[in-house]
Amino acid sequence: MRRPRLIRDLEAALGRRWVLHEPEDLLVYEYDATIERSLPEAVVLPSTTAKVAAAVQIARGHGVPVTARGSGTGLSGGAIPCEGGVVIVTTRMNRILRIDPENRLAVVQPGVINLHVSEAAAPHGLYYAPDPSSQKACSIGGNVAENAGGPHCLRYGSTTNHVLGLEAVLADGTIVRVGGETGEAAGYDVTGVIVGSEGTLCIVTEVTVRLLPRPESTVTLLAVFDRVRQASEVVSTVIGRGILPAALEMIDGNTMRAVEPFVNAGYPPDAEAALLIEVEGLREETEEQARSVRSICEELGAREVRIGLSPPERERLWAGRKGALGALGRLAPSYYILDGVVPRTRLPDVLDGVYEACKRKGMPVANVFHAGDGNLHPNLMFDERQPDATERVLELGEEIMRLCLDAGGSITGEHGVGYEKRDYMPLSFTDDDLQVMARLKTAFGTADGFNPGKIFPTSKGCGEVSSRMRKAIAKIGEDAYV
Amino acid sequence: MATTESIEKELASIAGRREVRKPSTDLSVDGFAPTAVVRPAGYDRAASVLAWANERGLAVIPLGGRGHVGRGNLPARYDIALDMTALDKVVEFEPGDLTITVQAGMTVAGLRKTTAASGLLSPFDPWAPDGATVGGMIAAGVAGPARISLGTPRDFTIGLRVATADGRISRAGGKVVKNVSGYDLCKLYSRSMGTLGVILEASIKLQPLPRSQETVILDFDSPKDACVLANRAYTAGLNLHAVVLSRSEASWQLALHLAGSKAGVERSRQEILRQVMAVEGDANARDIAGSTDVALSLSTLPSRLPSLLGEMSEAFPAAQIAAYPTVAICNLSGEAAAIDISLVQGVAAAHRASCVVERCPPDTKAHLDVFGDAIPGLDLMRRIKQTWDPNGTLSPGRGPGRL
Repeated sequence: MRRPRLIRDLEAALGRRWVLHEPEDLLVYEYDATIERSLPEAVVLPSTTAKVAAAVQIARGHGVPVTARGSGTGLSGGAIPCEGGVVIVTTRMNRILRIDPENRLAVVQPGVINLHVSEAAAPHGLYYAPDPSSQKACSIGGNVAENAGGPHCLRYGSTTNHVLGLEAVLADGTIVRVGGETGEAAGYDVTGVIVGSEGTLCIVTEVTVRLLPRPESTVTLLAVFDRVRQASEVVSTVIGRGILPAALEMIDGNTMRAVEPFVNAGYPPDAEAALLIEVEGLREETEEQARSVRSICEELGAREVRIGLSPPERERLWAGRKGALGALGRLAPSYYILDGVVPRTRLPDVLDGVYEACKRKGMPVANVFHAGDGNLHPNLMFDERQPDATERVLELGEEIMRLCLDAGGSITGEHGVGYEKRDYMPLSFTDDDLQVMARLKTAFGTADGFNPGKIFPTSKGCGEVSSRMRKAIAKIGEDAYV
Repeated sequence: MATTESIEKELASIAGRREVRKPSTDLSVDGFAPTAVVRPAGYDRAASVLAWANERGLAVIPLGGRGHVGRGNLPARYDIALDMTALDKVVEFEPGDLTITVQAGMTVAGLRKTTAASGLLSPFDPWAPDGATVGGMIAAGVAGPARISLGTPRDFTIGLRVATADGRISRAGGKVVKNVSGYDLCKLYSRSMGTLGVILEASIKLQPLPRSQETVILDFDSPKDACVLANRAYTAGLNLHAVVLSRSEASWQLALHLAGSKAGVERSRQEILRQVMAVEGDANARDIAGSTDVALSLSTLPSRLPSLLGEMSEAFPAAQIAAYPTVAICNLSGEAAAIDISLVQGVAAAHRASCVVERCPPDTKAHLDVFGDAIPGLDLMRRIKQTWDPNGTLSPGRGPGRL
C-alpha cells in the first residue's frame, strides 16, 4: 500500500534528499546479512537525534512500524524491515563525538563503525574490546542492538560489558538518557536491558563506551590436529588448567581446505581441525601461558604448533580464520550460518552430534567458531536450486539448536534472535519466561511500533515475512560475517 | 485489617507451618518490623507467598544475609519478611564450564568454598562473605575493591530464576557464558533491590583462581598522587586484582592487591615499587566498614576523583574515606554527627559525581531519596516498576525514586 502522505511528512521533517521511497532505492534496504527480505515503505537517513525522534513520531502518527538499521551486517534478520514500515538508517550519524583517554571512554553516534572506535582510541594506547568479525563494517548502534560478541569476548565479555550509557528515542518520540559515563548510575540498569533488545524497545542515538588499555603483549598460537575431538579436548583442558585466553577459535578441516587455496595459511590438506589461541597480558605471563598452551596441544596430539609474536606473524596465523567465510562461499552456491552455545565441557559431544546430523542429512558443513566460549557456528553449505535443499537446511538448523539446548546451552550467543530464531524461543523459554520478558515492551510503551515480529514467537504485524522464510533461503552474500 | 494471627495462619497454609516464624527484630528494615516471617524451602512456596501477598495487598521484602539491608529507600510498607536463607544449595556445578548455578540464599562464603575446591574464583566481593548471600549481592548490586578485575554482579550474572509479584516463576539468561536469546532481564533484576522480583537462583560466571597473590600498601601525602599511580598501574596492564585508597590519620594509603602468575605478580610489584617508596604488608584495607551510622558512595570519573577526594577529606575530617581510584568511586562513612549528607550531596554535585546513600538512620532517610534526585531514566524505571509490580507488593518504596 502506498502512503504518499507518510512520505510527504517525512520529507518535510528530514528533507527530500534523506527520504527514499522509490522501489529501486528501497531494494537496498530490504535485507541484511541473513536470508530474508521485505520491502519497507520508506527509508530515512536522519543526521541528528531530533530527526530520529521526528521520524519516529511521524511513523507513529501514520500507524506504521519503525525498524532501525545500522550497517545491515546482522545475522538474525534484526534489520529486516516490516512490510510497509519505515526504516531509520543510522549511517549518517557516524561521528565519534569524544574520546576521553584519561577516563578511558568514548562517546559515539550509533552509525560509527566498530573498528573506527579502536582506531580513534589507538593513539592513546586504548581500544574498544568487542570485535565482531564484521568489525570493519558493522556499526556500534547495531552492536548495541544485538549485544554483539566476537572472538575476544572470551576474556573481555560482549558489548553489554562495555556500554556505560545511552541516549535513545522511545516509541512516542521522547528522547531519554540512561546510564552515564561511570557505569555506576543509580537505579535500575536500564542500559543493560536496552543492549541486546534488537531495536524493539527504542532507537539508540548515542552510545558511551568503555575503552580498555592495550595489553603489553599478545601471543598467538595455531595448533593443527588430525581429529576434531583432539582440538575440542584442548579447549577444555586449557581452560581447566586455569588459563583464560583472550581468544580461542576453532577452524575445522572443511574450512581449512576451503581457505587454503586463497589464503595460503599452510594448513595441511589432511588435518581435521586447527585452534587459534591468543593470550594477552604482561610479557612474563603471555610467555608462560603460551608455553603451557603449547604443551597441552602437544600432549593431546597436535601434529604442529606455530607461534606468532610480532603483529605480522600473528596476522598470518589469523588470516585463515578471518578469510574463512569468504572462502566457504566458493564451495557452495549458498551457506547458512548457525549460532548456538553450549557449556564448554559439552563441546566435544555436541560437535560430534553436529557432524553426525549433517552427514545423515547429506549436508556439507564447515565449523569455524568461538570454541573457548562454547559458541558454535556451523555453516551449512547447499544449493538452493535443489528442490528440497531449503527444507533440509531449516530442519538441520532446528536439530542443531536442539542439540545445543539439550546440552544446557542457548539458541544464540551473539547473532541475536531476530526473525530467524523467534520460533525457537519456545524451545528455550517457557510461556511465563516469555511473558515476563514481553513486559519490557509494555514498560517502554513500544507495542508494535519498533521492529515488530522480532524476538518473540508470536508473529504480530510482520507475518508475511515469516511465511517467506521457507522459500527464502536464497542468496547469502559471500561477505556474510561471523 | 487482618490480624497477625490470621496472616500467619494463611501463610502457614501456603508455605507450610514449619516455614512461618514469629517476627523478630533482626528482620527489620530501616526500623520497620514485619508482621510475619516466612522462610520458604522451595521456589514454588516462595512464589505462592508472593501471589498470596499480591492478592491480599500485603508488602513483601525479600531478605538474604542482610549485610546491605541499609541500601535502598525507606520501605513504604512492610508486612511479610521473605527470608531466603533456607534456599542455599548448589544446583549445578561443572568446574570445566567455569560456571555455577546456586540457590539465592547460598552464602558467598559457601560459594567460595565450593568453587575454590575446584580451583575457581567466585566473583562476588563482599565485606562479610559469611553472611552475604548470592541473591542479596545481586539484588543490591554490591561490588568491592575487586570490581576492577571481577566487575560488578551485572557483569558476571549469566542467568536468573526469579519469582515476580504475581507468583510467576520465570527464567532469564541461561547457564552459558555467551547468550543473547531474548531480553537480558538479568541486568534488570541486578541492583533492583528486590523491587521487581525475588531472585531464587543464579548462574554465575567464574574465573580461574590466581596462582600467586600479593598486597602492596603505599603511603601518599595526597590522594592525587595515589590516584595517578593506581591509574598508571591499571593502564600499564599490571595484574591488579583489587585496589582501594583510604585515608589514615596523616596520609593516604593505597592498597593494591596483585593476582596472577608468579612472574606476573612479581613484575607488577616491581613496576609499582619502581615508581614509589613502599611499605609492604598484609594490611587489607577494604570496603567501608559496616558498623558506622552513615555511608555514602560517590561515583565520578577518574580525572575528577583526586579533587573530589581532596574536598571530601577537608570537609569531613572525622569520616572514613575509601576510594577505588581506577573506577573513580569514593566511599565515605562515619557517625551521623560527622557527616552532613546534604553537604556530601553538594560536593558530589559540584564534581558531577552521582551520590548514593548506602546507609543512614531511618529518620534521616525519611527526608531523602537515597539514590539522589537526578536519576537518569527514572521515568522509564517507574514504568518498569508499574509493569512488573502494579500492586506495589515487592519492597515498595525501596527502589530509585521511592518505587
